[in-house]
Amino acid sequence: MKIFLRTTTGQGITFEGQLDTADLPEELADRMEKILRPRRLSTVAKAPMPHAMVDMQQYELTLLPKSSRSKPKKFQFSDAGAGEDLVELMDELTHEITLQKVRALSGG
Amino acid sequence: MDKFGVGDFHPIQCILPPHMVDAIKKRGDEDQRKMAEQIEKLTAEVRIEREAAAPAGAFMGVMAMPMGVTAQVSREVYDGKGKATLPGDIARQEGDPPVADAVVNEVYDAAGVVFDLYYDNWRRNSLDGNGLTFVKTVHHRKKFNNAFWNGTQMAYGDGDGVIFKGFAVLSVVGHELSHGVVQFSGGLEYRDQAGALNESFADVFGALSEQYKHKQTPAEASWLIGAGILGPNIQGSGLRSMKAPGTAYNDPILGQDPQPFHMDLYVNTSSDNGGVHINSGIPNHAFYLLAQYLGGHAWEKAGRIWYDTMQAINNPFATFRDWADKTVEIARTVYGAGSMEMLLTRRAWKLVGIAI
Repeated sequence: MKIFLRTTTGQGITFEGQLDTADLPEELADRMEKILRPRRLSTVAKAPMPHAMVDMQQYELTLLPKSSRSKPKKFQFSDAGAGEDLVELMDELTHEITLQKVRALSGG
Repeated sequence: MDKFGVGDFHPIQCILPPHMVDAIKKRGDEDQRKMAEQIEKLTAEVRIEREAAAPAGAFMGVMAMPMGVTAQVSREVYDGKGKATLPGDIARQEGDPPVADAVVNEVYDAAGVVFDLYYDNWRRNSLDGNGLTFVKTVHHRKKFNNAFWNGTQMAYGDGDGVIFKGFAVLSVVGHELSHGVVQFSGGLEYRDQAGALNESFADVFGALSEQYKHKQTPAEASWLIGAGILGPNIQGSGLRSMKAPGTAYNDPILGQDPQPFHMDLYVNTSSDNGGVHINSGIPNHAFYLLAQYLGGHAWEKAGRIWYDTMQAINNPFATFRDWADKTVEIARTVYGAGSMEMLLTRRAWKLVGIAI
């Protein structure tokens, strides 16, 4: 499973990158496969943001196709209505993107 | 119904600021012009709905506490223990002695400073003017690079240890609590220019919280939001600089601070609710300039003008120009027509590209 994730924190900082379950720890990869289902993401993307919520973290998540005959599926959602398991996964995936950049900068 | 809510991420409705709609009407093709007209129509409908639900006056700011009556801050700090559930377990409440967790104490103390800033200067009894308890959760989620106000409470992450070290510093606490002040003063829609004004108000009073605690003059203050929260290897000094928007950080991982200081550099973007954390640099810098011009302490005159504007603006869709006009009107009302305060307010806006 490959994804492209762009996380915009509630302070306006953006993290973005591509992640492949093949490169991630097994436990995290398993959770990605389990949680990032198109039907669930569609439902979360429709959740309205409570009016008074500000500085909320937001996500643009694209499920990249396994073959060139399929199309990528893009979802936009926020922490509002995402559920605890999904927001925790988003935190970890965002952190993986940061670690990717750190490794790239250090030549690792 | 939230026709423009960011929750549904409608590709048109949640993106375009009013000046872009105007531009599309002037320069777009037929389909684009129709789209722009539809957006204008919906905007007007939403505004009418809001006004019908809360007629003129309902959006006015809260009443100040009468003289001779005293108020007392009420704080509750919870430990989220790395979970996403709010509020978590109570860690310290009003009157309790300090606890072993320094982050809990930092947020508790910071909330006291913010309460004092609003109460001592504008007789505002907490966020709602009626003694609302400050509810705050620390250690929210894991590796969470954020702090937010959800309409009823604040929550602070500990950061991921790489980019951020945590968010429990006074300027951020003041920022988040001031979102509550905006909400209870009538509110500003959280997108485009109104959203950037919401962010800017929170930044202004976050910075003033720091200055009020240390009794700093504008010349002595850092004018940074989030000073000290960046990770040890990140090249930067904080999240935002009101003194020099666009210079808070420039780092290979974090990128470059995108804030403009002038309308000529206004950023049109679909992300971040239309750049609410980006274009807030413009009103932020106007406030900084005014505070520098007026001298003294920034909360005394510049802060009063901004606070009174928030109480009087009565327009959740306010643009930068609407806000600027109101600040000049407030300065004239409080300090007199032709006063130095009024002229310098106008001057500060002109220098960020808004001529009044």
